Amino acid sequence: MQTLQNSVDFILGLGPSVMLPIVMLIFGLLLRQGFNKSFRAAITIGIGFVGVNLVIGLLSEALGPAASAMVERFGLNLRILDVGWPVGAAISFGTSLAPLMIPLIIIFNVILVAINFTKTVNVDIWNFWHLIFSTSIAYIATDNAILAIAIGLIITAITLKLADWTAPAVEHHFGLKGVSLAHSETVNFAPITYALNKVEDKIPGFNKWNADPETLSRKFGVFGEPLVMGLVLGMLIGVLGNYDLQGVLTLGIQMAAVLVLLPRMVALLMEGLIPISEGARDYITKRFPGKEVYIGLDAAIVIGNPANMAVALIMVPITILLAIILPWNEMLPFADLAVLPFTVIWAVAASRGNIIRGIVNATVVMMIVFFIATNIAELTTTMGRTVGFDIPDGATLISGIDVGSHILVFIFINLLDPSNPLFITAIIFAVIYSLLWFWVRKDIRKQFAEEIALAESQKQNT
Amino acid sequence: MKRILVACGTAIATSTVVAKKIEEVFKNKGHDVQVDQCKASEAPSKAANFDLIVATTPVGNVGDTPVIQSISFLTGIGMEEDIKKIFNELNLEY
Repeated sequence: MQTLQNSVDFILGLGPSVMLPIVMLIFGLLLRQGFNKSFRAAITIGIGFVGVNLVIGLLSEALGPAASAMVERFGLNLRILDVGWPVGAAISFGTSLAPLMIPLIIIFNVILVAINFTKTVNVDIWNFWHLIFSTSIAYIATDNAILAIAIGLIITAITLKLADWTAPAVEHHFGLKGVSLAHSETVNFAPITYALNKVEDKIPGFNKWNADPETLSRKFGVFGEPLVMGLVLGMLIGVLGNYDLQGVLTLGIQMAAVLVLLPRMVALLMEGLIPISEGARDYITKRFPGKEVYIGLDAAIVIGNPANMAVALIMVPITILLAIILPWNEMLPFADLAVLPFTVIWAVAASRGNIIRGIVNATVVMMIVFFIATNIAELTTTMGRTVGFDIPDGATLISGIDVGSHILVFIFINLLDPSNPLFITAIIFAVIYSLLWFWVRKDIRKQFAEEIALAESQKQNT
Repeated sequence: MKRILVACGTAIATSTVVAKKIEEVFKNKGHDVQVDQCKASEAPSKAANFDLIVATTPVGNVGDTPVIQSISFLTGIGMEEDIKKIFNELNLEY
């Protein structure tokens, strides 16, 4: 018994960059991907982990002091650093519950499809990180693994339901048939944005406003490139932090480097997941021959929609402004400004690509995101420390726009403890969220009634 | 040597799957290929240096470079046809 305990402790003590490759090698072999392929993939994951940690080092060493200089000089209350979703993903895959959650989520999904609870078969293993994040953060909040896993699975089930519900919009607005977006942290805004759209419908004249996405994208498109965005933001923070010219230029290049390098490092993690991902896809889809299902994919496939890109670009300055003026926000937005095209997906889709409404909806979404990002920062930082990421000691807390988009997680973890100051807030959030979803539950099918009728009559003719 | 740019939302998740698959297929057929990944928003400024763009999400403003938009590499459905399309576009024997 002692030996078993010792060996478990030894494996967990190895840290994610060693433990994860071992686990992934075993998964790869179980899914019959062959030793060669699985071995290479497993080592690649380890390399990705080391790479992410290196870039975070640069980010916190360079941006940390500059941000606090700026914040101090202007008396801003922004003590939380937005380290971006790549860090969130890396942290999530590095937690001790991750190896357990990957097969659990797959099996749970297969069961839910078999009993017709959902039509979505989520093959997007990569974005399981959101669900693992949910589970792990619940684990840190409660220190109860069983409860945490239960919460993770409940959130998985709700996400699949949201994906089913929004599938008609994916087919008719984005033009992707047979696909749904089981991407928890984006689709969980859909009930809210569809409700906003319903309200906007009732405001006379408002529905006639629009703007041309192509022109906006061409004009502002350059700011959507991480290279330019990092450089400009880095230099801006340097100037505001009262750095000298050399410091400003250095910070600009360093931040451009962070925004370009971080995704490359995380791409290595992704590359390492491919054998698992392909194996799991075959495993799941083979189980339902002939059944009508939606393939659940990464929301990345729809963000290139012109209206979506245009709104995301305009939201960059609005987001920075919101960060400064919102009384409940303490996070300085940075790395995740690049993730805004995801955050705004359902804000824009709910209005069928109307940009003016998209901006209004996205602004409301961001107000919620800042609230959650601020209140979840402490748990996220603790989670980062437990998997061994190099977070500087002292005042620095980490969070992100993406991390702050997990409404469902926020509600669940705060509902667990009645003595928690956010307990009442969480109840209010939960009630409003459920009511809104109930209120708009038929709206998507109504929005696309013509298209759906046409598709069904074509099906009958053939 | 042919140069292919794979564009997706983040240059991380979906484009990695597509890029690795294309590399694998080209290698098996004995063709030299260079595959780069980028975000959809970077495609316009990078397009001119590539023979073909394969995208998992809509891309615009890319000039004369042909674009194949496909999610078959992610769903596993219709992948064969899309690979043939890529070879056709590059005037290569499949």
